[in-house]
Amino acid sequence: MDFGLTDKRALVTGSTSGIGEAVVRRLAEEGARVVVHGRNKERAEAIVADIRAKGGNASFFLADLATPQGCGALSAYVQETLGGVDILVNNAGGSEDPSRTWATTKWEDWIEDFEFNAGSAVRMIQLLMPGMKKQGWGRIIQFASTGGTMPFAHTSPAYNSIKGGIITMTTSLSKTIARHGVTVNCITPGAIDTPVYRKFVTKLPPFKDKTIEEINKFLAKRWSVSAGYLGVPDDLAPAVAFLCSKQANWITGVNLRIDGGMSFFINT
Amino acid sequence: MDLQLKGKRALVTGSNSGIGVAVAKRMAEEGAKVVVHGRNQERSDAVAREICQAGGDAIAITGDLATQDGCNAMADKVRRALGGLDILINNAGGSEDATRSWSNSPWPVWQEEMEINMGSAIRMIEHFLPAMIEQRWGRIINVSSAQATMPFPHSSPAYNAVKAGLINVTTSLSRTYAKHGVTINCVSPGPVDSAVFREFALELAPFKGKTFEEAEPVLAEKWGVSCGRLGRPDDLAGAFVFLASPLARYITGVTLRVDGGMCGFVNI
Repeated sequence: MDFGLTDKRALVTGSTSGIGEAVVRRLAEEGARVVVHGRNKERAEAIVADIRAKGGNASFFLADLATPQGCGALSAYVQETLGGVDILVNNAGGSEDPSRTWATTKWEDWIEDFEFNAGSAVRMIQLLMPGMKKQGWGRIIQFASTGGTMPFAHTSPAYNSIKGGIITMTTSLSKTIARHGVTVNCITPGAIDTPVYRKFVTKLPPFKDKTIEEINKFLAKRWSVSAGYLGVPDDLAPAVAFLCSKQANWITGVNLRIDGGMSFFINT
Repeated sequence: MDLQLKGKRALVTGSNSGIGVAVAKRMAEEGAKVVVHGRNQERSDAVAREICQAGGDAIAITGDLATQDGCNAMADKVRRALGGLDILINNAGGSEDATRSWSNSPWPVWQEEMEINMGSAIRMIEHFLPAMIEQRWGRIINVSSAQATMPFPHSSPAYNAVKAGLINVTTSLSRTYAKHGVTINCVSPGPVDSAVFREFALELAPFKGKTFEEAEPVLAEKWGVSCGRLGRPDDLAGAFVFLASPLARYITGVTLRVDGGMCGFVNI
């Protein structure tokens, strides 16, 4: 199916590993001119080199999006190199410490999670949306989390609340900008086997001496993932490309779950 | 993007007019073997012929899915023609009278809506799901409506309630069978321009004697469609074909709104 993404200018934040990397690679394969963003130069260089070797068009920029300065610098870079963007994928985020609970999350941690997850997205939107509005075409993709709609007890209360807010922000923004040809949608990933996930779970005491396959199998069952397995980053990337495509002109304000059926409540 | 649908056997029920036609054509363009279905032989044949003339692979099979006998006969014919199905799109449905309100929907009307909209889907699922489970691959896509989650006053209470039920059915089935490689999803369309829709909308008091082009922006505004226009069948087709793709294996149990941002509440 023709996605109409040839030569579209796309920025994928947090794209030097995991889901962001899969997304930026897919968009480049579809012919988009992509900007890889992250904080690790070595990984960014390697991904850009690989995309170019396959005939794609890519460059990278390093910045810390938890600060206004970092967001401003990234925006200035894409304005300078590409003259703006057609597609903004707000994937950067996460938590410095995913083991935070209500008991261990200080207010400062809430602020930190807020800057990293909502601040990065809101600032990039404010910097890059005016150009999309002006040209009458744009795509903004946000990333929430099943934690945002289905929080576990004792698990990342700040991160989850903010991810819930990202879904609300998506609806709000979509209503504001839809008439200008810009769609705004959100992806809710379930449990995805990414490098960050592996780093976290393999350190948990019950999983010492277990292989990642054993851990994934156990957690898929424990978390009631209907599909029976954890996802991989490329389970999300095609959906992002679809929502960015011309085939999704009339899809806006939605939050698409990609969680193997982990969410147990109906999807309205 | 290659959606890897070449050779997949797909039935799109209710595909001799409106959204169904666009989905059947798009599915065939992606290389699937398509069964066009409707109650009217001539119209169904015409759609199948058009697909074949464009280089696609399609046959037309007619039947009334509002009855058990009709579904049984339809399923037999599909099995004889293709040996089974990989993709079932339960698009058939609608209402004999779209102006029904609470005051003129006696219980038999509810039963009728249930047979047309829920009975058709459930019975076709019963016929084709077991073989999908056996072959460990399948796609089932149901069709709901924006009015299922956001009912207007006085408007089709029975139809809306039944369509809401399909959202629940989607999650329930998905939670039961996702581990067998079968995904079950739902698409929830907003108001889409079709012959049936025009017949209904242009009969509404303020639009008598008006053209569709005159009525469209007024209706989009009144119904809160963020994009500022109603949908076209082609706006819907991409979402169905994407959800049917092997690339969407980790998306299950979801209801994807394709409504131009009409549903004004957050999508969880």
